Amino acid sequence: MIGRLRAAARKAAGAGLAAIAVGVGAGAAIADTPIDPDTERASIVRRFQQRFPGRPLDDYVLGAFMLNPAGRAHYDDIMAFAPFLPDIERGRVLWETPLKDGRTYADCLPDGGRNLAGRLPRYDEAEARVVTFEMLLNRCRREAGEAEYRHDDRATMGLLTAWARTLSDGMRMDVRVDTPGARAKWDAGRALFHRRIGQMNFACVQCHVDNAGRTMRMEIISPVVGQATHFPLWRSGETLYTPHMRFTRCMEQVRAQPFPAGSEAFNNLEYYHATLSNGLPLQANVYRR
Amino acid sequence: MADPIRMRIARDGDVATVKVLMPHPMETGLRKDPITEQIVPMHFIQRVVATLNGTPVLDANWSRSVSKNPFLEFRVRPARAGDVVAIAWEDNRGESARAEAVIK
Amino acid sequence: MTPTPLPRPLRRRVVAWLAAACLLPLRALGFERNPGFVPTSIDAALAAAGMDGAIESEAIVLKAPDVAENSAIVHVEITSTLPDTEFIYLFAEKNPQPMVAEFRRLPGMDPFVAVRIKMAESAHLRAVVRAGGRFYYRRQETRVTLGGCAG
Repeated sequence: MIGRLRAAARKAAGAGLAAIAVGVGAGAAIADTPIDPDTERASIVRRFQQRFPGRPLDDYVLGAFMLNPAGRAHYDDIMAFAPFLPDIERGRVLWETPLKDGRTYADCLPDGGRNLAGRLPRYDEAEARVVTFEMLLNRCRREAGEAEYRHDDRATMGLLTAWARTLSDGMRMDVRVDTPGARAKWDAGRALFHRRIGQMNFACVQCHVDNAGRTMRMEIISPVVGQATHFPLWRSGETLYTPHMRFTRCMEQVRAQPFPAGSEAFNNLEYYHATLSNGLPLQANVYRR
Repeated sequence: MADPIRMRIARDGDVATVKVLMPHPMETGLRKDPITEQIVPMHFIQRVVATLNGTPVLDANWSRSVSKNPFLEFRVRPARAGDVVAIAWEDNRGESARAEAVIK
Repeated sequence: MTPTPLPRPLRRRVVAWLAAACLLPLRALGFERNPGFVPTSIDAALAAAGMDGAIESEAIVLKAPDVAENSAIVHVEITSTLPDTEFIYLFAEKNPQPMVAEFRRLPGMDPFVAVRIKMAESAHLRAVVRAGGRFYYRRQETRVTLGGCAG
């Protein structure tokens, strides 16, 4: 699988250079180099620090707003009393409503679900796969005899995470890649991040590492560092996006056929993506454009 | 309306800044439902009245151009700890909601 | 917000008003919709509202973004330093119905409001203030740019 992705990335990188305003930086070229998660994060952070000198790392949770003072002022105005607060309350009702076996999500999750989101995704040795926050919530539902929520359903899974992730607000992202099994999934996520896809033939890394901070089609491209800290996010202040919904949107925009929300490909991508935000503070439910 | 009005009041001396969030769809009547492809009927808050200790201080009339889950901020003066600010709205269908909060 | 119980007489007054405001329609307090609230051009809306003779005034501060982050939530603040400010109005000149809001200021409120509005397209925003029986205005252009990758 990884080999195939790498081959595809190589092929795409060779074939797709023509007529793209976005430069191909080191990102695509290093896709084949074995690199460990800490070195990867440090090298990307170093590139950003050269590009945005003097910017504290914690500011990266603001995404493109970090680089746009007028946008930042608007963000602060909106966040001072966010229009999606009533929706988060609806998520709280979902969270507090007992499941069929009488237990709640707080009963089902370690430490009542507090300070959990920043340690996810994680690799589960027994299942030999990456487990996301959404999967843990669905596991609680399954164990209680309830139907699982769809990973692409805003009204159930989306709102449930909107409340549940607030219980991890303020903790620092701490996603570990400790074992060979975990590393294989992280590598798979990394390969997808570097793989050119879709009719526009773009890889995640081209926009969100190589060209982060530059403007494309009237938008400032957000740096990948910090992106994983603030899900779910609310586009326009009203439309909720979980990590996988956001990945889906990105893939649609480069005219690629998105992987399904909750798929292994997205789980692995989310795993890789989250490690790049390690050390940054979590805050669920932020306004995004 | 299932979702209550939310109010936050910050007093600085004898001025209190009141921020209000009023959960409401604020449908313009111009939007198509993406699933049914039907026009979503106009549904918006038309009038908002704010009182300080029962006396109206602000009487607002709105159009459907106010954003979904409307935000309103205003300042009352003189404001003392213990004063009560109340908000009531009514929409174009005659639905209404109210809330009150005490200035600290 | 959790409302704290009020002293009884106060609570009775508030409850009485809110009963009047809510249980009976707000109209019972005297309600006349401004004729400017019509789907038309900005000029026709101003004329309908009787504001076509308004004078431009720097005593009105209209704070809105030059470039709106998002046309669905444009945060706008209006402050008037005109003596005897009675009403504050907000127009988005290219919205299908340009008149967005009318705020009647009664004793006990500062001549300031903030509200979030939808804009149909890039346009001038216009704040109109009625003070001492006369109309004054201030305009500001706000571009909306939602599109591209944020779309």
